[in-house]
Amino acid sequence: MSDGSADMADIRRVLAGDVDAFGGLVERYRDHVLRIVRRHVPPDRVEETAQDAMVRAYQSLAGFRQAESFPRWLAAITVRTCYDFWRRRYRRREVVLSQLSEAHRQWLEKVQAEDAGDDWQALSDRAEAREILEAAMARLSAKDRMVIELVHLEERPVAEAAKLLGWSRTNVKVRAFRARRRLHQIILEGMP
Amino acid sequence: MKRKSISPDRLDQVLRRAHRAKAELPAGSLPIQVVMARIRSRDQDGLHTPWGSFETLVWRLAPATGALALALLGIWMHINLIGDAELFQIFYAEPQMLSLLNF
Repeated sequence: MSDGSADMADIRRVLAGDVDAFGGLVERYRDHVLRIVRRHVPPDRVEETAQDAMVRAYQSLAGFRQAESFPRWLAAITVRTCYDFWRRRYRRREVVLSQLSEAHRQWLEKVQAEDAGDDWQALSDRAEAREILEAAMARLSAKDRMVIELVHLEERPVAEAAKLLGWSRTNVKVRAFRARRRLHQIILEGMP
Repeated sequence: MKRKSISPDRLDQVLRRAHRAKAELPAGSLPIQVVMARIRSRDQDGLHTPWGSFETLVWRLAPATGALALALLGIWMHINLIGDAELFQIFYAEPQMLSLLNF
């Protein structure tokens, strides 16, 4: 990341026709974009989606307003690119609804047993946790998936999630509430 | 037997940690050269401006607009555009014109 003046200088050069100046922005913000994309798309699609986000940012650069922060503007474009990724995947029915394996059931059983203890933190870091989360997320819609990731899993304020997704606050609030309930329901159904 | 008793808050905490761990996975990279090559290959599209979006829309609608213009031209060539007032004047001044106009 950098101070805004370097960003603005590069943005002005790009808008004046110097395409190569966008390289400076890519250099400074690629980790920022990758961190967001890794949270929202499968590992094998991170690179492609991050590239899509950068290309989209370049094409939308004329719409960037100097008053806003470039990293925030880029974050919104990246989140929307991730959302579009899931929309395409759901439309082509590429989302695999995987069944929970015995290892997953055992993991859920341990979490249940450790409900009052502290070992749940270690359990959360295991691969089973990510796999169960992914299996449950696959049963949600693209909209529910994005909203639950931003509001409940990343604990972003509703206003920020609304800005990132370009939706109304009411829409985000209602959808986040329903999606959380649905996610819990899906996971509890898989519990032993 | 204790079943399905995990508290929603604890479940959220577990899921949050699992979600955050995804960001730490060493998945994907973003080489500048690859991004810039993609941008240059698409650069003929240029930057999206409000005017550019409008221009794209105009070009997308051009075939339909052309077809509509031709259809209107055809209709205009086959309809009688004489107004009611003018027709009344003709009828009033020269009734014999009626037969010529084929009413």
